[in-house]
Amino acid sequence: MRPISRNSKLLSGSILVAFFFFVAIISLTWTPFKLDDMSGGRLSSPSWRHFLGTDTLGRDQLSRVMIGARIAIEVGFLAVLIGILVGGSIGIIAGFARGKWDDLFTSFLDTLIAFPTLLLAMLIIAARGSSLFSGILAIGLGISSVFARVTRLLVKSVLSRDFITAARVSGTTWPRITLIHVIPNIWPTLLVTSALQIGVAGLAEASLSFLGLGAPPPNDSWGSLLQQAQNTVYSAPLSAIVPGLCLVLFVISVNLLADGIRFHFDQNSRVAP
Amino acid sequence: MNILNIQALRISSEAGVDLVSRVDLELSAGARLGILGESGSGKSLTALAITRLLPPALYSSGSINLRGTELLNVSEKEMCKIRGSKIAIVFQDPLTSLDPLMKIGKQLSLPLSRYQGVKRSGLRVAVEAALNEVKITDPKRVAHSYPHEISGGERQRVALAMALACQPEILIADEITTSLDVSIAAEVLELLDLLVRTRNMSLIFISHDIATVSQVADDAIVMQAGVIVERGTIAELIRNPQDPYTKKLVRSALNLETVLLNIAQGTPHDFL
Amino acid sequence: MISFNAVDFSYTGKSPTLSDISFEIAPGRNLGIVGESGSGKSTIMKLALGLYRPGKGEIQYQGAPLNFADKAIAKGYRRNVQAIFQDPYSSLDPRQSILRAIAEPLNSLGISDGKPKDWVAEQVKQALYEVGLDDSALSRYPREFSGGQRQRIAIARALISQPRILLADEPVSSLDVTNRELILELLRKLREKHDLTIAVISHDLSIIAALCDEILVMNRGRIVERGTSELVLGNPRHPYTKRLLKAIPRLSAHR
Repeated sequence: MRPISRNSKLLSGSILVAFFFFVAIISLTWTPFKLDDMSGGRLSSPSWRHFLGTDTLGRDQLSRVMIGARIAIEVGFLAVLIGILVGGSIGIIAGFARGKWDDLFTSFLDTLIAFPTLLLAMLIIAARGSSLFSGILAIGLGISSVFARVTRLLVKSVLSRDFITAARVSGTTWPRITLIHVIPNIWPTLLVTSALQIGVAGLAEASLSFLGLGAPPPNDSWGSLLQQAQNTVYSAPLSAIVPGLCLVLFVISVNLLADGIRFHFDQNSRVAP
Repeated sequence: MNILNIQALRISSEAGVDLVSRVDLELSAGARLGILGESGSGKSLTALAITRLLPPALYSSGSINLRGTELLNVSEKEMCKIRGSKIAIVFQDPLTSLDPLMKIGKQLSLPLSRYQGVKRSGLRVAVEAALNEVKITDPKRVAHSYPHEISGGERQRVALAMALACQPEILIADEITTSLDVSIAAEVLELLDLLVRTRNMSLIFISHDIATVSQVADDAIVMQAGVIVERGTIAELIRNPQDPYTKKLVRSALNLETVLLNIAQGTPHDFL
Repeated sequence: MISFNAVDFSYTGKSPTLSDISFEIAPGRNLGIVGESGSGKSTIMKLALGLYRPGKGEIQYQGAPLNFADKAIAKGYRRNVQAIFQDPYSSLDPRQSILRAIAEPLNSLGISDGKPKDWVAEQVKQALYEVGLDDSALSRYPREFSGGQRQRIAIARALISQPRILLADEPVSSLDVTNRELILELLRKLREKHDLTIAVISHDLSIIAALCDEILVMNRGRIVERGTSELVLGNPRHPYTKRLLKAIPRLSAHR
């Protein structure tokens, strides 16, 4: 069993994600400049005062990027939370379904998955107005279809094993079987899926913001920053490069984390051929 | 005259662990050799080594000599020509060795046209003849079916037909009856016996069950943990096993027969 | 003790998996149910374990109809009728320690209610000794054990509630010859010691011959022959049984 210290992906992934977390938490109470402070001069280059320069309104880029980290983390984790709760529940029920109900659930899930997240987002935003929560809700619901499908498959796979039959023969009730046999066997994979979906959620949010459907200021995510940077990309390339790079790094970090988690559990619960 | 000569065959993993070592065997034309062993014994790896089908992470060394050609040295291109036309191999699970998306007739026609040079117009007849040779009762139906639409026994016969389409000198059968029901397995073994005889092929028959091996092979080697622990004619191995592992195999296979014998003789016996 | 009366069953509702199945598992007489794939033998086991209900007919336990809806009856039945399965790599939960795995019947059947905490661990230790393992296994996980050892653990779990009947579905088919002998030996020993009646379901007549007193031969969902082992093996009457016996490869030709 490989100890965590030798699992390089898990270590590096955790450190990077922790870094983003750290930045996000700090930004709640402090950023180098406040967002309404427009004293920096338009589009100035990086300096000791403004580490990443300023935007068209004279606001400090670094501060805006830090806020972006907070948005990325918020959206990532909250959307995934919604995804697991909604999708996971549906998935568990679908996993236990037999016969006609099974067919029904499969069709239902296939339809859900086919529904484009962006369209769903637009519908929700049209109904609730564009806000951070609308975005989180839309992305969360979109992701829940992935969780539902993965959970259903995992549950079905576990239920087909003999140890479930053995548990029933031992007199264990179905609710208890779900608790002590099904869930422990599916949560490692769900954890990996969650980590991956955090990246997906971050990217989805960036797309929404880029399209102008994301949270309005002052909750500017990296996607919003990118959208705003469209006009200044040649005159001040950093305005586009920095948020873009942050997004890429964020997604890579969660993917590393996901890989590390998967590797860790693969070693531990490998079933012999 | 030996057509296949294996000396000091060794198969090792990347980490340097020997999975098979010091394997020597000889196969003459028309000979039938059994390889006995269980999972982990190295029997299947040996078969894969002969056909150079080992997974890339494993290395083989030693000598595998087919009528003067050193198989471990030839190029992959050369080996492709040898596989099928000189040595053919049939595996345990025909569901995985047949293409699930291609009809049987089409799959069979591929080696027939390639190796026997049958032209398009003659293919249908050739396919039916091949299916008849393996005693498939309704060749037309089978030719138009997909692998999952025919029974396990029929699939295994088709797999044999595919192996034979290239008219090999040596046929390797790796646990081909293990997944089949007892009565179907008996039929497939009979078929194998017939085919080997009429075509005068050499046979290497791999199995974990000595009773099954005794139906088709004359000599056998017993493998355990990657080495040969005993070898001899089938009769010798059954009557006078030396190695403790061979003794266990024989004893286990004799279980039923001992019971049946006791019943027939009216000897009181303890079922417990 | 357990009797099937004219039981019919079908998974799909269209083609019958079992037709008119009637037999008894009598105390002290090991029963072997032999058949090839599709014969319905595994389905009989699932019905006997209450995992499915018969379509027609009735299953009785000690003279009374088996009704799993009644919790008390169900618990009593499960205490007395346990099972082991074919695939040792699938019958243990990879995320459960051996201690918890073996203790599960004690907890689920209420046997451990009101008992002190170490009582369960003691019982599990005893069960492990009986199957030839020691208590270092308690905190370990299934992946650390071989196929033969896992099968022993499964037997320990099945016997911890001290059942009268053990149903065994292909108990040694997935094991190599060394383990096969060991497990058969273990089953014989346990049968003696605990006055256990074993019902073996298998396609392998040699295993059935080694353990069973009575034999049922199944073909396509029906019982085609039944009788004592002597009768069925020594003087088979049904053509299917004869075919089955004939198809088994023999060593005697070479002796």
